[in-house]
Amino acid sequence: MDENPFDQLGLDPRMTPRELTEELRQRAERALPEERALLQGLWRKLTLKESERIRWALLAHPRTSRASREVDALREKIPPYPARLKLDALVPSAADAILLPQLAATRTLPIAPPLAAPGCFQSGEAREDD
Amino acid sequence: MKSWTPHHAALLDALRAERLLPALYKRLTRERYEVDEAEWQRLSEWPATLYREPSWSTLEVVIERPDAWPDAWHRACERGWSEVAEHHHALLFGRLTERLIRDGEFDHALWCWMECWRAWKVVLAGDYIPALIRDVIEEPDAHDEHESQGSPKDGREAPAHDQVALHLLEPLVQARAAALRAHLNLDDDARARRALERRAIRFEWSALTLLVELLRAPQGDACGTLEHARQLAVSQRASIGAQAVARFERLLDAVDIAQADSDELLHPFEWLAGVFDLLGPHEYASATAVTRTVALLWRLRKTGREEREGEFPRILEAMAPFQRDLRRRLEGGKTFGHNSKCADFMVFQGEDLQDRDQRFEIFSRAVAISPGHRNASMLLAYEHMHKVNEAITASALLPAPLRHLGNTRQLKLLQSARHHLSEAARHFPTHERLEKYGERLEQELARTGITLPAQDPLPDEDAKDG
Repeated sequence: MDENPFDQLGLDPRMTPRELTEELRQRAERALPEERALLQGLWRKLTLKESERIRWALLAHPRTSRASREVDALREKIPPYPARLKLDALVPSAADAILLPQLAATRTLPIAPPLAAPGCFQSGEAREDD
Repeated sequence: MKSWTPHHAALLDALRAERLLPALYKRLTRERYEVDEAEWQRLSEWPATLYREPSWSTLEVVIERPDAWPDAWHRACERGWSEVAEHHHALLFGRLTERLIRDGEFDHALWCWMECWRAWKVVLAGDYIPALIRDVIEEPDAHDEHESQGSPKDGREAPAHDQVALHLLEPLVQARAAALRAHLNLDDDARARRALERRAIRFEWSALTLLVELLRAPQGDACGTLEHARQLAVSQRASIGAQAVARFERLLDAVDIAQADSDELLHPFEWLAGVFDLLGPHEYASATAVTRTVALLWRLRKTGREEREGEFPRILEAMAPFQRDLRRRLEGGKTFGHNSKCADFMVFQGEDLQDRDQRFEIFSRAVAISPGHRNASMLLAYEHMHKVNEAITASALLPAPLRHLGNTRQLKLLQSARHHLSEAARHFPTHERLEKYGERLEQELARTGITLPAQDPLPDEDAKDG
């Protein structure tokens, strides 16, 4: 079965054709050219035939305009949730098991800033501006 | 919070969805699938809907326990969900059914199919869908004048939206029927030979059959959608059965028995047997299979191909389930009109049997189904004559004075012989050995000095064993 345009667009199936047209017009204004063509196709699918729109509406997941619009508004304001970020899966390899000499040495060192790092001073060493 | 706004409520719902949707989706797919972006988009409001329902408490405590599902789900469903929640479920399980079928997970797909329709039953029972339609339809003068409300001038025509609701779930049933046709190779060329996908066929047929059962007595059906879907499933099942029989006839017609090798000859029978092993008994299939098989077996006999490569018994074996079904229907008075062909088939089956009791039984049944059937009557008469011979021979082995010692065995044997002789004469009066066996019986009666009573009782078990 085709993807339901209401579900695809996250729209409330109770929207009238007039509301649909207004909503999709606003979206199209902000969309890239290829997205605009898709929106236009979906708008046609939903508004060309009344019986088709009713059928799509009955076969769409129930949704409230209030909630979807508010969530859309929130999406504009807040960053995506960390859980939704897709990171590449970590795949251990044989190389991970090899302890390189400098890494092994580093692991034995106490946790402290490097002594010779520029801008650092030995304890008790007088600073130039003292 | 001092200033709780709708934005906060929406944010809370979205956060709940973030937490609950992945777990719910995974539990309902029995840990098979993760919720993807498209499903996030569709189901974003579902968790918040569930969260507000009384039945949610049943699921909440086991949301992180995969082993508690689907029992917990069934318990929650028994407590009941709102129509909005069930609308989500119906659509979700419909999609899962399709996905699981694609992945060959037919058991799980069947569960999802039933959950889908269970949910639709709730959705369609009350005023939810009519109310949704009222919300969705446009004011007559607002938009799209060319199509919206059917034809108000014509009172006979239902409004367009009523038709939409009536036919709403048709595609679900049609999809199952189309898949079943494809798996059964119903549209294939008559000579095409593809193996049947048995698991897929079993699933598709069960899906239609269980749907018919589930929708037999819906609690409510405001738009007539469920009854329409049920009738469609019934008609699709009947039509697929008829199409399978039609394909069998096409396959059979395409066989040239003078040229075809054994595989070609046997293919239509093995295909039909495979199909109805999965689809179950079907009156039309049984009658057609038996009728066409009998016709072909006569042709094979006339062309002298009967003995070739064991084709005859293999055809009979493949078609035996159809004969059994037809015989049961005839004996039960559930059908009529194929008695003679059924008896023919039983004669073919009986001819190859070595066991005399089995032969006697099958020819007796053939005659009972089709009284006066020539071949069955003749073969049954032979079996009766065989029993006459057995009884007289057994009696001849016993010394004549035995009867004076109170032994009735001889009497019973000879009563049995007379009974079978009269039965043989009744079924096949022109049997050439009737007279000779009659004379042998008289001689044995004279030797033993037994006078049989005028009334001819049925032979008892002792006599049969004798």
